[in-house]
Amino acid sequence: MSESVGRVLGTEDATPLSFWVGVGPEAYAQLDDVLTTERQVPGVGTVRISGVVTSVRSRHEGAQFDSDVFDIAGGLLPAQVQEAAEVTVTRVEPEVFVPPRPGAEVQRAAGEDRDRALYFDGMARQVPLGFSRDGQPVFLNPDFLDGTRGAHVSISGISGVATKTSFATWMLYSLLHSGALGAEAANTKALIFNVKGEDLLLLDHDNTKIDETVRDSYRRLGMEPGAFKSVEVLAPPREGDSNGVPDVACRSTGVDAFYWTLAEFCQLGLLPFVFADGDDDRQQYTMVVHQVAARLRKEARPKDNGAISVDGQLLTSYRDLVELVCERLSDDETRTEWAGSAIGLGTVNAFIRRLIASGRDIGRLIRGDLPPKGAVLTSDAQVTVVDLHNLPDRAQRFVVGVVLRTEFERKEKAGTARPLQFVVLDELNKYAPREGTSPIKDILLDIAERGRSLGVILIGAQQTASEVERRIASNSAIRVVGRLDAAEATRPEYGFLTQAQRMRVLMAKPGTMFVAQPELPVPLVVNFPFPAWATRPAEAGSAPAATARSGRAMSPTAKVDPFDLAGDDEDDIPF
Amino acid sequence: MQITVDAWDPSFADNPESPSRANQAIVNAGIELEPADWRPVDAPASGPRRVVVVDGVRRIDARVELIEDGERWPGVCVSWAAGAVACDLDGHASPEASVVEVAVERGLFAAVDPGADFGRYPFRKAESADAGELIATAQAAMAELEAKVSSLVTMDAELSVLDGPLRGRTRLPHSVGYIKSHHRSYLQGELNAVVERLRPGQRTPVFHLMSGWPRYTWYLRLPGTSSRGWAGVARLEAADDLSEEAAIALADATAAALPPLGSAAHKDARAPQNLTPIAGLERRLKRMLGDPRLLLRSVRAASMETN
Repeated sequence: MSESVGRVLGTEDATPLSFWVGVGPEAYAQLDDVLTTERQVPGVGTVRISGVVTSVRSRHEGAQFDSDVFDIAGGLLPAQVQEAAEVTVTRVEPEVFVPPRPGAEVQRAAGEDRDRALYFDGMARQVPLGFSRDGQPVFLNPDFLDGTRGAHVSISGISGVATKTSFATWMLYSLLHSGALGAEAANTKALIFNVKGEDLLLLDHDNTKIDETVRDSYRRLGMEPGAFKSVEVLAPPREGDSNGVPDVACRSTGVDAFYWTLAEFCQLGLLPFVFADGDDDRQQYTMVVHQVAARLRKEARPKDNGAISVDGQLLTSYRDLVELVCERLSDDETRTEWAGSAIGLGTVNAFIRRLIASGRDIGRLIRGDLPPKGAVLTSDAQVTVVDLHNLPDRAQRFVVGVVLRTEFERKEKAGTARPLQFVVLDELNKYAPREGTSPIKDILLDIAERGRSLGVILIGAQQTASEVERRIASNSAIRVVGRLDAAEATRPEYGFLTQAQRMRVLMAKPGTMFVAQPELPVPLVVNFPFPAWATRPAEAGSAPAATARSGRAMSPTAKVDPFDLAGDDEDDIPF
Repeated sequence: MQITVDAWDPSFADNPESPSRANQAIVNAGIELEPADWRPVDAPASGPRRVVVVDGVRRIDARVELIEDGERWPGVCVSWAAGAVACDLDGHASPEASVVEVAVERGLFAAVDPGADFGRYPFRKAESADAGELIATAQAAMAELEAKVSSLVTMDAELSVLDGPLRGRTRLPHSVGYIKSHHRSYLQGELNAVVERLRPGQRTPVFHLMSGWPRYTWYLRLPGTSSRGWAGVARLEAADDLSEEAAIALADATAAALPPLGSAAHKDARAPQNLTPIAGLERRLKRMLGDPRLLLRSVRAASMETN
């Protein structure tokens, strides 16, 4: 039999949704413990009521005044220390919603009882999320992740302490390596945007800083500790480099450059993504943007190495294109053709100013001097990391917008949800802000609302869920919260947290997340294990052999470390 | 037999004054000091580390009338409880005061047996049907329970403070009776002036008192708001069969141990004589007596069944 914790209190109302437990003198109850109690209901039989401890308190019984505590501690006044725990009910079985009876014995749920209380028993497949406070594993139902019954994840928390990106990658690792997806896991792809530092560029390198305890926690969750097996990193070309060498410092293999040719830029109509700032949307020149994009699509003739010619003029770089567009718009004769009729000169000038400014940011991504790569993500690698951290803001928006659109269109055309495509995007409040519209926000909204059926699953992270478009947040089946700012925690977007949890998120430690999933009425508090893959160069062990077999090993820009080719690192320098 | 329950709140007629027996008091003041040398005595520097305080509470839950053959007999349903607090200054990890023993009893006090099961209240025979006598019998039952509780807990205490006169409980070791209020003044003239001169923490010399039964006794002033007159003065009693030295040692122990236990005026109307552990114990005991409205209901239900 399970361990007895205490009895249901009679001095506080017990309801079918929550009740208080007087904790026995030799027992204890901590937050997040799973407790269970039973009662007999006439005609129904035994009803088992289980829940999670959401609040605990202790007090002196017999003390009337605040100062009595000194008399009690001084050994003058008799008083009893009594602890009580509030249990928020997660499950009533069978579903007869009766309150537990005061005085009923309450037990700590273990084994099957705990699984039932947390609905783990009904999960045909389980994705390990980590451990609860009492060291027991906590699972997620992948039905709510892979689109079967729900999709999308929203992760909120303040920067630095909330470990949002770590949790997103851990969730991905768990999903791909726990066997929850079955055979499908091999074909499932993930696209990760790396927005700060080179944190995510070493996903396929073992972490040398983890010890046996961390490895053991992975095994207890039913998977082998290790790095992601198949990773490709896409980075922007180096500034000013005519060969398109990827701009990455911390690794040399499994890296490829991403860029678009001028021909693609014109054919695919990527110009609006250059103006994807929320600020751009409020301006009049949006019309000019679309007019120019249409004009380019019509006029541009593809040439070798991605270059184009417009009206017989050869353009080999983004700057050339900008110059040409500016010229056409400045010229009174061609202005109406390029900018459309009834457009004020001021509006055209505003567009020109911004277009010229974009040359500095986007120039290295739009090339007329390199062979076309086709769609950016035709990689065989399971996980593709698109590195944005070196790019200025406008270029980041451009890349995110274009990559997402390409992926979404590819899935749309494929017409089948499987295999799944996961998209991990941090700083969602920048790409899909609550106010205003932008081309990226439109795509993200599309993913949030239709991605479930198309097999595009968004794992979005943001500092403040209150500043992200409501429809994106509300379409997320799984909501995860790390440490929050005090003002942010009171916002209605976090209404799924219990009152006590709203206080707790203010002091959540790195590695602690509150995970709400649709089946459970209470978010579970999870400690997820330290990443088994390197998160910075100092932690990186050797890369797996698979990385050398990068998706595009034959790519003209792939640079291979000559020492790796030697293949024999045991050898010392021969003198 | 017919039983009726009085509709009005029973506590209105609760007279806590026990019947006074105006016996003549014979005082021998020359036990510790000659009467001529009487002066306030200071407390010793250190006192007992483990003090047990025993107290009881009593409550009249209902007044009933037993009617048989046209004759009416009054009865009272009484709940009483007794308990003990051990104030251990060298507790496990820190000083602690813990309730070590608690007992609750109930009874229906009447001169005739109602001959029926009266709920939670077993019948107890009173000598006469007089209301005062019924209360006195209940008081005696409580004193008996207090004695039982004290006999269970006082063995390992360095000092046991029993609430009320020590009468009938003189065999317990290191025990003193603790009397909070003074209906009579036993000392005469100059000696009484010594009581009034006591400063907080000081006691009078031990004297021997014979009024109805023999005992050693002394006055002790507890620290409180005012130290004039008889405010904050308690009287303590020790068993007559002790040696004079043992009685004086007990008096010193009380002078060291009790003043810190005195209660504060804003927390207790009977401060400082109602000691802090006693106040805490009484709260606990009163809680254990149960809800009077609920008990009254059970009495009414039982009386309906007998009709």
